Amino acid sequence: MARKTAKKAPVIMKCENMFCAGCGHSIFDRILGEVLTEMNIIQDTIICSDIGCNHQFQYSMAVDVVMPPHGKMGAALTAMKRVRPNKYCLTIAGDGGAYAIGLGETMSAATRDENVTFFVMNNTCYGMTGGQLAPTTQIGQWSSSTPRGRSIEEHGRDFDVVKVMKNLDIAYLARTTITSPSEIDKTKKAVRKALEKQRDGKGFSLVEVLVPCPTNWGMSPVKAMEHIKNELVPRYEMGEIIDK
Amino acid sequence: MAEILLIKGNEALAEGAIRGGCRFYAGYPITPQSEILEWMGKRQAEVGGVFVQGESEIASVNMVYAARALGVRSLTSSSGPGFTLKQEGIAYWVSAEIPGVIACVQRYGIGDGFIGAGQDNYWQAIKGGGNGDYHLITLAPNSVQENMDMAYESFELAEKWRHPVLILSDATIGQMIEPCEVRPYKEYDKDQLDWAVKGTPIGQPNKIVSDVTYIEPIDEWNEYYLNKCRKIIETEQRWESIHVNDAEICLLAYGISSRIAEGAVRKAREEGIKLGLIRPITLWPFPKKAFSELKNCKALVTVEMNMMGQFREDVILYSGNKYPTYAITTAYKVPKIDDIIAFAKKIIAGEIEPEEVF
Amino acid sequence: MITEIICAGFGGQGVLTAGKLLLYAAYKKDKHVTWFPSYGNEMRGGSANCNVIISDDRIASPYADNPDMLIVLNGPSLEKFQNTVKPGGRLFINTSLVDEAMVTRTDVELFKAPVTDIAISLKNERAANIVMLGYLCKKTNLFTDKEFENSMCEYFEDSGKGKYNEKNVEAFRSGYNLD
Repeated sequence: MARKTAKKAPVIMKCENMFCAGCGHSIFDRILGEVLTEMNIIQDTIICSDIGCNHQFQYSMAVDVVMPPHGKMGAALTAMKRVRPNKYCLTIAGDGGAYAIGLGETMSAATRDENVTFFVMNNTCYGMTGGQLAPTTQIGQWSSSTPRGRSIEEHGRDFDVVKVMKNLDIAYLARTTITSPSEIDKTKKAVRKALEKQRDGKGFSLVEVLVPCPTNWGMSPVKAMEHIKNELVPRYEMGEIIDK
Repeated sequence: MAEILLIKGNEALAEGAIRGGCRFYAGYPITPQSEILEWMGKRQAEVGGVFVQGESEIASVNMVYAARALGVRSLTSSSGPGFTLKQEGIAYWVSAEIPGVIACVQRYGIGDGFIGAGQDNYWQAIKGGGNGDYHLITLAPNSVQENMDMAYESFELAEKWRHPVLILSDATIGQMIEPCEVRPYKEYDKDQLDWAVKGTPIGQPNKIVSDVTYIEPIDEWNEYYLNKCRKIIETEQRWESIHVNDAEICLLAYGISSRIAEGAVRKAREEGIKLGLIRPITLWPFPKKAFSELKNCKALVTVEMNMMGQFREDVILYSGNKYPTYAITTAYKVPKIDDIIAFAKKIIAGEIEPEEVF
Repeated sequence: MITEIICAGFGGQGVLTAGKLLLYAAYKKDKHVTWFPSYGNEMRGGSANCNVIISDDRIASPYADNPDMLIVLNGPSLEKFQNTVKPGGRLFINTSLVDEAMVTRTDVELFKAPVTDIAISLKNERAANIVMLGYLCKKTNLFTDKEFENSMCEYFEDSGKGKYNEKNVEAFRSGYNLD
C-alpha cells in the first residue's frame, strides 16, 4: 500500500507557525498559502490582518501585510482596494473582530459590495484573550466570561453571518470547515473561488470557516474537531450560499 | 499671476491638500467641517484620486491608515466628537509610523457640544488623545490662506518624520471666506517611498505595516522613537512674534484667537500699552524658543476659546513658569480686542492674580 | 478704515449671496475682506445671516459684533440684530416684509426700501437681495454703481450663473435708482 506523505509546504510558508497544537488557524493559513501560490498571486496580494490569534499568520507567511486596529478590516480593505485596485486585498479575521467590534465595518464593506475578501475564522470564542464570549458562542456553550454557559436571557442570541448576509448583493458567501481532508478540500475551493470573484471584479466575498480552539474549549485536538462536526455543523447552514 | 480664490477655510484646506498630492480622503459629515468632505467628494474624482465617505469616523481614520500604508498621500478630517472617535486610529498611525494627515476643525463643547467655534480640543489634540507616549506634529492656521498652505505642506512634513500631522483649525477659520492664493500641483508617486506596501514577490523581504508591538525589538524602537521626537522638537518649532522684544505683557494665542490678539496688540500700542504676541504656528513642538525674545516681560496672557485655560498650562510649562501667567478664556465666544486690552490694564494695575491651574 | 456689515433675512432670501457680493466687490478694490456665515441648523429655512468685514488693514476678527451697517430683509432679523448696530450706524430695512414701527433705534440712520415688492414687479422675486444692494450702493460710498455692477457680473459669471446677469443688473439698478 502506498503511504501518503504530506505535501511540501508552499513557498509562501517561510517557517513553522506559532499556533497552539490543534488550532484551526494553522490549517487555514496553509490552505490560503497553497491557493495564493497556485494562483501565482503572492506578489499581488496584501493581507489586512485582524488583531487576535489570526494575526500570527504574519510570522510564517511571506506576504505583505497591513494591520489596522482590531476589527477594522472592512474599512482598511475598502481603502486598500481602491488605491491599488490591481492587488488582491483580503483579510484573515476572527469572529470577534469581524462580527463584534468590527461588525459595522464588515457590514458596511459588504453592503457597499466592496471588491474585497473576508476569510473569517469562527472558533466561537475570543481565543487570544482566553476564550471569552463572542457573538458566535453557542447557546449553552461555556466561555470564560459566561461560566454558567451562554443563555439567551443573560447574554442574548448568537450571531450567524449567513442569516445576516444571505440577502445582500454580494458576490460570494460560503461556510466551510476543516474537520477532514474532504472538508479541507471544500474550504480550499471556496478560498480560491472567493479570490477569483475579486479577480473578476464581482464584488464582496466572505468565507466563514468553522475552526477548533482546543485550548479554550478545554478539549484535545481530536475532540475539538468532533465537536465542530457534531455540535456546530448541524446548527449551521453550510456550503456555498451566494455564488454570483 | 497666481490664482486667487474666495473660498471658505475648509475648502481651502481641502484644496491645499489636493494640490499637495493628497489622493485619498475618507471622512464623515460633521458640522463645522463638512465642506472639507464635500470639496473632496468633488475634487478627488477630478484629479484621479479616491474619495470615500466612511460609515463612521472610526472607519474613516482606519481607511486613511490603510491607504497611506499603501503609499498614497491621505487625509481625514473631523470636529469635536468625531475627532474623539478617531483617536484610537491616530495612535495606530503613530505606532506604525504612518504619516497620515488629519484636520480637526474645532467646535466648542464637551461631548456632543455645539457647532460654533471653540478651542477646547487643545488638551486632546496636543496631549495625545489616544493611548501611549505621543504628540502629533500640530499646525495651527489662523487664516484661510494658512489652511491651504498648511494642508499643502503637511504631507511632506509627515513623510519627513514618518509621523502624523494634525492641522488644528477651528470653526471660524473653517467657515469664513477670505481671498486665498492657490498653490501649484505637486507631483507625487505612491510607489516612491520604500516602506509603502505594494505586494512583494517571493524571495524578497515582505513588508508589514503594523503597530510596533508585533514587529520591532521594543528597546531599540523606543530609543529610535524618542530620538526622532527630540529631533522634531529641535527642528520644527514655528511661531510668529509681534512686538515681543519690548513687550511688558506678552499675549500667547493660536488660531482665530491669535488674530484678535494681534488686533489687541496694534490697538494697545496706539494707546501706549506695550503688548506683544507670540503666536505658535506649531503647537507641538511648542515654540518654546520664542520665550528667549522676551526682554522686559512682566506677565504672560493666553487668549483662548475654552473655559479652563488649556493652552495656558503649556505656556506655564514651556516658559519654565518664569512669569505670572494668566488666561483670557472666552468659551464659545470669539475674544474681543477691547476685553483683551482691559485685562492687560488690570494686570498692569496689579488688580488681578493668575488663577490656579485647573 | 474698517466697515462691518451684517446681512440678515429668511433662509432663501439670498442674504449669504448678498454678503458674498459685497465681499467680492471690496476684494476687487484691493481691500482686506472676510465673510462669515451663520451655519448648521440655521442654514435651511429659519433665519440666515452673514458678517462681512471690509478693511484697509489686516482683519482681526471676522465677526461683526457691532456692525456699521445692518441689512435686514425680514422682521425677525431686525429684532435679532438692531441693538447691535453701532450708534450712528446705518440700518437698511426691507419694508415689504419688515414693519417700520418695529425699529426702536433712534441713534442710527434708517434707510427703507420695499425691495421684495420691487423684485416681484421685475418678475425676479429672488433678486430682492440685489435690489437692496443697489440701494445700499446709492446710500453709502462703499462702491460706485459701475464698480459693483462689474464685480457682481464677474462673480456670477465665475459661479456659472452669468446668464442671469441682465436680470440682476436690472434689479441692481432698480435699487440704485431709488431715492
